[in-house]
Amino acid sequence: MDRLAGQQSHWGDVVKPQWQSRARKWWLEGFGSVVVVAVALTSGAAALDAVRTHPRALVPAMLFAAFGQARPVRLPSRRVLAPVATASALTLASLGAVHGEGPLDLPVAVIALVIAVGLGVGLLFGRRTRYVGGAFARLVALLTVATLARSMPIEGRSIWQWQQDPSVARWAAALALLLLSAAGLAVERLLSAVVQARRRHVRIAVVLRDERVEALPFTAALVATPPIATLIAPATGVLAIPLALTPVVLTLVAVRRYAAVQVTFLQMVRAVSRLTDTAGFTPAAHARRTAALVMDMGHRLGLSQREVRQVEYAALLHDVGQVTLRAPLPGGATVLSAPVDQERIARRGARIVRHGTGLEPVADLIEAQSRPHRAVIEHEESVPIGSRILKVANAFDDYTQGRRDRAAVTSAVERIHLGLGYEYDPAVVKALEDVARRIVTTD
Amino acid sequence: MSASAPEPEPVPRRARVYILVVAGLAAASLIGASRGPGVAWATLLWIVVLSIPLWWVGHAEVGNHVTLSLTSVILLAAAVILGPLGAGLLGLVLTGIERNRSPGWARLFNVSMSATLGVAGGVVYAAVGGRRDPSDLVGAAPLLGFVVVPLIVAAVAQGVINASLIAGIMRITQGVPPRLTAARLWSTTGVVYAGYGLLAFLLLLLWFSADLGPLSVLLLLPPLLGAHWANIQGMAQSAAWERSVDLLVAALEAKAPELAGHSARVAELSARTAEHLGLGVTEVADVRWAAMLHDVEVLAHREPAAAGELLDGVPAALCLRPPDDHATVGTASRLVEGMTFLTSAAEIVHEAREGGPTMPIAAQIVVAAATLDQRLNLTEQPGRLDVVLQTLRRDDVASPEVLDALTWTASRDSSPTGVTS
Repeated sequence: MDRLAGQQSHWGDVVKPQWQSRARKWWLEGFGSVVVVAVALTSGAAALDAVRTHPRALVPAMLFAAFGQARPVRLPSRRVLAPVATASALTLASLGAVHGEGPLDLPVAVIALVIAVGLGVGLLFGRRTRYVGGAFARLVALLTVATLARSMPIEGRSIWQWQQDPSVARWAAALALLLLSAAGLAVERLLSAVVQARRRHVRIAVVLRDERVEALPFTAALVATPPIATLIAPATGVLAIPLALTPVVLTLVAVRRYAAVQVTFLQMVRAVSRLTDTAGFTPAAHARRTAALVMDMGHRLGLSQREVRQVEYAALLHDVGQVTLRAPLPGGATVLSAPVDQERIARRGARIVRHGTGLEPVADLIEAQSRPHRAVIEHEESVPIGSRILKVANAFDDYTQGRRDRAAVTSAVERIHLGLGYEYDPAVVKALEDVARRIVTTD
Repeated sequence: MSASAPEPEPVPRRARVYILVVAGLAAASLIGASRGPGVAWATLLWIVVLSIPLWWVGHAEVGNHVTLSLTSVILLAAAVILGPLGAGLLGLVLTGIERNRSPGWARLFNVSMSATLGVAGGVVYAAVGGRRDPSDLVGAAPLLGFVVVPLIVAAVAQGVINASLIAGIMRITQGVPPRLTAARLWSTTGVVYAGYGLLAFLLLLLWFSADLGPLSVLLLLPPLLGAHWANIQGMAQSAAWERSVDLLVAALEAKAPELAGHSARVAELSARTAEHLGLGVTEVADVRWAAMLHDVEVLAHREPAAAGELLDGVPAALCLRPPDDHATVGTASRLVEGMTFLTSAAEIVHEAREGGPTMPIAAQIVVAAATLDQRLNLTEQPGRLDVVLQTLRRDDVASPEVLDALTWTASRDSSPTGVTS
């Protein structure tokens, strides 16, 4: 039976019209554009007046927003952040008295428009139009902070007026500003997560979980920026904005390093994965093909970004144990070798990988890759889902020998089906079928 | 910056004397500062209490057992807030209660150095016209003249004293030329220190201008922790590189277990020899990588076997053989393809394999160190160090200059240091 062909007839049933799919993806951009145009029409003149009155405060804020938007940072979880732009927006929404400028008593719409222009310029100059959604999330965060600051009353005044009163305890003012800033950030994160979830076809909780660790340093730096700028502005004047942005810039440098480290490390792992190819133990690019497969399957099975990355590393390194052999296996295919040999190669590979600091979880996945699914069913052994994915993906690539034509793919899937439930996890095989169908249609 | 010892090792007598001199310097600084303005003890206590989260996160290693601590920011700001004596005492306390504790002598060194830095920062800040209480300063110009510039001068003074003291201990314990230590410290901590200076200024603005007092430490804490994360991530870059090389070496040693530990020993010896010869920071790193990978071609070694036969065993240690196998010579470059940071190292390995009288100094170091370790540890009858060194000279393994440096390095115990900055 041609399983792939048989299932193809159902694909059309679930595909939605293209316009509907686009509307779901780009709703924030659409909504944001309408709001910005409306604000520009109603408050454009007031914004121009404000820029003429407070050029030393508004122009730098606008420029920082533009610069930050033009130079975003892409996290390993694929989330794109523009912390300098966010910090500039939230800071302008909070600023009160500024030495040499007087109080920045501006309507919320004017502040939003000034920052919107900055973000727009950043998007254009940075050629980052696909990050428009993030820019609108930033704008909504600014609107949240500015509106709350100017409408929430404390002791009969708005927070914005209250925090400028010298008789108010400074710690209380700092705390109120921190809470405002945190509220704005929460809105920005949530909106961005919604956009990301739609684009990645995963749940919002998965996106928030993925970026929890990566975005934490930014959150720490960003949440303090508006209060710091607002509190020191009466002494430093407009210099408060760049000074308060210092921690954000330092963190940005750090996160860029972090992202670069992740990319570099992936390149390293890829290079190490070529060892067996170069030494002639495995077919060319077997590890990379297997890694591409496990990533697709992992996403489909709902693994977190971190788990997917670990399975990717495991796939890249899963055959490294073969370098200890004196002679290559036929075709380099472990799936065709005896189970005991598969286990030994997996164990040796894991032993090698364990030497890479921080790669212990990857080594565990490699070690368990040879375990049959019946070990889970019959002996209630714990075989990680990553290992089960790796086992299926490796078998698929071993059987196809890198080919992606319909005949090879169908044959490989059918051979894997012979071991369904006994050797391979049925849920994982289902994910492979979904991926294989896409591979066949696209190639 | 400070030093931290990864494992307790006997401290050389000269190092102990040096540390005692530094401790004496710290004591003299504190006694001298006590004749100046007094200490606001309540403020000092507040700062210590509020610095506990910084203490908790510890410090980030920037290489060669030299570490960078967030307390540097507090120490710099304390030079203004508390004055020389207060800053000196704060340095003493914060480093004394440090979470990542170094062994006795290293801790004494670090505590003494921090106290000296605190006093020096306070003295220099006041000497160049810095204002102790800048709360009435408003506007960019007064703040720049009376706070920022003096603070920068104080930070530079602290940095110079710090680098000098660490270079001294590194020279004594590891034989690293002071110039090299200074260059390394600058390349790894220079930018971070500049950032710390700005953060210290922000802290002062919040403390005095925004009138937050000690609570300004709390407000600046989240960004400070972010900056700390910055340091750790920066250092993670080299750790990531090391991890990938570790994998290669692990694969190599899995294939040839008799070579276990050989690569690491040769790398350590080669790097220290290169440092002793005064090679630059990048060259030393390349020599280290090259030494780690000098046997990597073993990985490409295959032997004919029956199809499907899973043969194990230890192949002959190919590193001990001349490069007669043309199929494997040059594979180092192919094996490390994609690891751009290893390109120079692969060239050094290639040059070391080719040999000859025109062999560059980096390749000579690797060849000499590898041959020394091979004759000491990989033969059935290991020779004595002095005898083996003589055989290296007799066999003309490398130039006399390289062999002199190797002899100096191999004859010394490894370093016991663990310094922080």
